[in-house]
Amino acid sequence: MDQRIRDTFSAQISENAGIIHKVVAIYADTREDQEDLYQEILYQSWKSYASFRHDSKFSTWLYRVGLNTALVFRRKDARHSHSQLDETMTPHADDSYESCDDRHALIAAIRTLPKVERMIITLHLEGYTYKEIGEMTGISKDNAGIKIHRIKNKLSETLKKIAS
Amino acid sequence: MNNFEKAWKQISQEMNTRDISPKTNYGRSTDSAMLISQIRKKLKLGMGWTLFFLLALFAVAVMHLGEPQILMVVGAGILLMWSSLLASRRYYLKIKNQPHVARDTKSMLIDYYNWVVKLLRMERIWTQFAIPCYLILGLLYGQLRTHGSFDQIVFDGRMLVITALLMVVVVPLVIVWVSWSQKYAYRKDLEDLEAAIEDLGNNHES
Repeated sequence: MDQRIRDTFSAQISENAGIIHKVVAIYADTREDQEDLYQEILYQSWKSYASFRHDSKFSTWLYRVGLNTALVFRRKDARHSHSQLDETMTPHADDSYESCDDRHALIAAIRTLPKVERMIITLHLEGYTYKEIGEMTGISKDNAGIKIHRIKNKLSETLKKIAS
Repeated sequence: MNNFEKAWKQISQEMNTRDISPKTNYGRSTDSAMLISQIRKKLKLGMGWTLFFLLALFAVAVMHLGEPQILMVVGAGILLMWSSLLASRRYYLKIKNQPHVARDTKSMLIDYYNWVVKLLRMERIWTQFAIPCYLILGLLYGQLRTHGSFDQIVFDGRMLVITALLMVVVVPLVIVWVSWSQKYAYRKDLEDLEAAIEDLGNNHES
């Protein structure tokens, strides 16, 4: 790819950097994993950029690439579990994506969800419709709605636990 | 839900102020971090070894240029290696050329799952087929070097017992080892993929 395409890509990535940071925040919890996932999303985005057809917004495409990459990302330390609430509730001293309060609580609660559910709720919180979520994840619109309803209930429960 | 959205908006505002690191390198993969990178690496390593053995067989063939019967045996080995190399290369390129993460999640996960399963199956079947073949070819090569031609080979009892032992001990051991190492290396990934596909697949959950 020539320099012009690379510059366009860089500009679009810079404009949408928040997307990558959010995906990293909900899928990786150690500094090392965060750096790796961040780099991997950039790499996969660049590698897949030729497949970007401009028929959707760049941010939507970047969400798709970022979340898909995070979904199949392998942590270096396989013993470190994301699924236990106790582990994710403890902010790491070097965790650059968290601060206390509601934001931390929400990110921590999302991290307790299975990977696919994290993806669906992230897209929902970003304001994507059930239909769009269905298209991005490969499920039906109705299924997306059912899942979102269930995930919200789960999140409420988890946030209640955190609050108490 | 208002609370979720409010908190998410705050998160978004905070994240949107963060820029891309100036050290960013779009061309660098973390390599070991992706399952697909590991599969490609595994294929690449396999192709490297196959190529090495293929070249070694070519060298052996050159050494026996004047002996057509030995050349036939070595040629069969080359054919086996060559077909393995071609199959691996085809599979490697197929995986490499897919912009897999830019597609919908379910298709990507299903492809990932099928690639891993197919690769492991291919490896297992190939092991079961190729190892006995190489063993027989090695045996024939050794006999031809000793006796000169197929007509003069005399399979004595001791050699037949050794061959049979190799077949019933070494071959199953290698097959078990391949299966075990595959299970050890990929079981967690396959379980995760299966769970994720199932999560996306249930359309009418209660």
